Amino acid sequence: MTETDQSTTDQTTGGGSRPLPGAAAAETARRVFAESRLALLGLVITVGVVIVAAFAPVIAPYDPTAQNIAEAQLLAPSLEHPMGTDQLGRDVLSRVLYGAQLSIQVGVIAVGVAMLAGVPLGLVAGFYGGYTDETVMRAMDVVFSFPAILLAIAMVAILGQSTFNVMLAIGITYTPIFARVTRSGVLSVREETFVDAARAIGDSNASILARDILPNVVAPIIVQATVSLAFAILAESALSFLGLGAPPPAPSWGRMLSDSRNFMESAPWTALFPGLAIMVTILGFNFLGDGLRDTLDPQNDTESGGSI
Amino acid sequence: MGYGAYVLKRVLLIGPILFGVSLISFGALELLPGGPVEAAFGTRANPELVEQLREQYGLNRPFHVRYLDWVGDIVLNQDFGQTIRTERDVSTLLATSLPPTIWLAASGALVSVFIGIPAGIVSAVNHYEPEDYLATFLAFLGLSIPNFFLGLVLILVFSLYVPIFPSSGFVSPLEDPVEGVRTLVLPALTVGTAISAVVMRMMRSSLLEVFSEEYIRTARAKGLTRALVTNKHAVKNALIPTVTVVGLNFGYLLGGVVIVEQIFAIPGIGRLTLTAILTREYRVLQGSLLVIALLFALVNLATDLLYAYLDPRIKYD
Amino acid sequence: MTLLDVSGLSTEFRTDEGVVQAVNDVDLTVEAGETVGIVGESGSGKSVTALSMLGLVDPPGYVTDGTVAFDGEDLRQASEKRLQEIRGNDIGMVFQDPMESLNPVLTVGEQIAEAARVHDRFGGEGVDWLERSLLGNFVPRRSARKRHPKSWAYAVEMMRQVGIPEPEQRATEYPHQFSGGMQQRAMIAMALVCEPDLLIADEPTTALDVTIEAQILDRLAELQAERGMGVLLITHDLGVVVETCDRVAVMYAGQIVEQGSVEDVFADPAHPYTRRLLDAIPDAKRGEGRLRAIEGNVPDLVDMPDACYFAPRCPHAHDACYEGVPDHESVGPDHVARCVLHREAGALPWEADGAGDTAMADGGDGTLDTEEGDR
Repeated sequence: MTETDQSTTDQTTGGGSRPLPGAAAAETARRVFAESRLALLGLVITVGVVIVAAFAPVIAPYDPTAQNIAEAQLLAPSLEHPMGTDQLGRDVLSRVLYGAQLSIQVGVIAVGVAMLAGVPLGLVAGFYGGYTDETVMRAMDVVFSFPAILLAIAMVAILGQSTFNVMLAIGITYTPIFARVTRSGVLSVREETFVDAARAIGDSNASILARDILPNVVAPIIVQATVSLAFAILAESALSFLGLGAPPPAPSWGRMLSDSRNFMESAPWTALFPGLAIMVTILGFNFLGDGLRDTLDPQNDTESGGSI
Repeated sequence: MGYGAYVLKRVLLIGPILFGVSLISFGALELLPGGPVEAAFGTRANPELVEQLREQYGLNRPFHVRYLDWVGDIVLNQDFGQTIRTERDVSTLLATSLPPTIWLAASGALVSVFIGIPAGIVSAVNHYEPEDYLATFLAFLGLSIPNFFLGLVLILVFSLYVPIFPSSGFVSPLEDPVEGVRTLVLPALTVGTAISAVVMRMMRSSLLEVFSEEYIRTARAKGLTRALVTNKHAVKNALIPTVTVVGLNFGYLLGGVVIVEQIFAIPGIGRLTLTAILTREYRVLQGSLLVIALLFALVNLATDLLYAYLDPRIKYD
Repeated sequence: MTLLDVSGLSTEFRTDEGVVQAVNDVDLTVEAGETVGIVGESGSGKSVTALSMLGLVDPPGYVTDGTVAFDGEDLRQASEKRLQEIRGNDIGMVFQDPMESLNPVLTVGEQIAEAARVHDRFGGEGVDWLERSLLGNFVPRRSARKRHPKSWAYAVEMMRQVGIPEPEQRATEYPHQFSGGMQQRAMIAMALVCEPDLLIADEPTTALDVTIEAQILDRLAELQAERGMGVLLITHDLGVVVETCDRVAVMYAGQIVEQGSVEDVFADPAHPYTRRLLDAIPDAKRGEGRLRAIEGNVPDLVDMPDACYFAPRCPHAHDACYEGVPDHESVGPDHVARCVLHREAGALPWEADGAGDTAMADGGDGTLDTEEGDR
């Protein structure tokens, strides 16, 4: 099977060759970050958070679950405890750092679940159209029409409280968005000539979906993934805040915030730092997602991406 | 058809939607593992007591019988059933929880409009200048700050450090206007901030689009001042997609309301639903989901009607 | 005093691809009661010229040079406030696409009356603070007719004068409820409300049917005669120019390449471009089989050479044409052309040829712009 030698073909020109994913991706990435300072800033922040998450065990000065009620309860920020301690004597900084790990983990897996479920649904709905399309999209609409947070809460309540169930619940909540984005991507590519060409040489539908259509739909999916990641982290924090997230003593930012409510006036740092951590992370992902969207997917200007 | 007939048609369409929702919310809750009674009382419950309660609540009857029974009660008697643990009237619970939520949602929407629209205008008129960058950055901030964090910070600053507003509770503005508004300020700000960011960005982009339209050039060629051109000719057109954005984001708004009711201890439907989910009060849940769906449908309706009212080009068929 | 005296007007657009010289050293005059046409293809700079005169060019466009003397006052030196006084009041402007040029969410009557109110034609019916503010969009008020009855009545009267039937009813309607012809009439009404001394009409009939076009042009001529207005008519339709204009200026690539009375320019075109334009018009009388297109393309206006802009496409081009931008050479009393041929001794190429490329001696109805196809 010969492929044409236009290795980084612009994926938006109709009738072009099949794009080679790897080279095209690198080229696109370079273009995005050269053009958008916002995306660059977002990337820096996001990568920073990921690094913190990955190296938390190394960077954190204390064990995040180590309590020290006797001596170190609710200490203000100092050299020993740069972010102070909480009501159980735990070092806030360490908990914030480990919290990054938890948030990123949950966020990535949740978005992974959503993509795993939503992208195939969208591909099928967009490609086959007709009855399949209608059914799938109506089902998605039903899920979509409830406030996401209530849905997630309900699922965790039904399934039971655990980190895994939180990831699952958030993932299911965001599945419709990915289905929708994938489907519109498929619809816009379905009529391109190279798809017809593939059909003409006898490629099976599955093969066409995987090799011709999927690579072209990747761009909006990536944009959506970035934006949804931000909201997934927000959702996890919200669930934890409500007491439905990862069970204690896991250092979840949202839970730290809710724990701090009783001590807010006397020890505001217990609320401030976790809250800022959430905010900065989400800001970073939003910048990244927005910058990506501006460059990769300019016609998408709806404020989709889920809700709190 | 005229505007009035359009309104009527849309109102009548709510019925089928509610039917669908009721079916789903009733049906979905039957999925609760073990059954509602077991779920409400946990595994510690005495099996004989559980069976007795199941008989009492008619939970062993076939699905469609139960469903029709439930719907019938609601439609004919406005009876949503009783709570399992305390045997309180669900309809009363729903009725008392609805007003605070409506006040909160409405004031949140108002906040978002009052902040978002002027911010969007300032941004568009000065676009690519410092005011624009500042406003856009603040919009990003507003979108990124989790509303529970914002709520806590607001309480910290405006309730604890500088005691101006109460940190919890709800007083109906109908009973006591001053106190009512006071209790609503912080919650409304918390709910409305994220939406105001969305509104601001929408206003900005649609205003920029309008500015490049020909009729703006005509207005300037008539000798109108820039202020008049912007506020009378441009904004009016840009408002159309912007106000509908508020309606479209109602889901977002409602999600925020759930959390905010928790933080500020407002006895609204959000908090009721949350509690019902956590305590497995399925009758309450079924009722509140129905009410929430009705709220959604009404808001969508209002949005569409507002859109049709603002834009004289819309044809009502 | 000359109503409008434009001299050396130049406007550029600063884009990523470079600086586009949209208007290049344009000289124009319009006397009271006179109709002057600016004729040229799309992209020749006609509309930008008009906008430049009124200070309506926005960045990345900048008017870089020239004087625009209106009744002796240089508009380029005027403050924005002064310009706002003049716009709509002393100078009225009508634009090309009436559907796009009218605000869809305001009634036609409101938009016309506004022109009068902004210039305080009727005391006490000016624009108030509420209307000028953001709040005005949300506060419901009494209808326009009740709030400023005199302006409204006047607007209705103007609509009647431009030929809109049942104006009382029509004034309460929205632009999308009007047909194209009526929309344009409404625009004209709006431009004439303050009885301006000069009317600038930018392709006023391009978007309309031929029959409607004729009606509108006639009405415009009547109104002009009644008021002694000067009219600057911008168009790509040579037929319209012949029918309505006293004098004409031909634009190419941002420059005026020929200017003079309609009789002179059409009977004896002095610039090769004008000659080719007139040639390109299909004419049954000539009876020739083929249309004569002009070879080549309009230059892209970035980095223009210091030479005659038309030279690359001109059948009579020679070395002298590349020695700098040609000045206006006098061809007759009040007839100029930017062509070195008129500086040189000897017969003009087309005169030497005899019947080489003939011009239109009587009116025709061809168009220059092929975008909309032949009429």
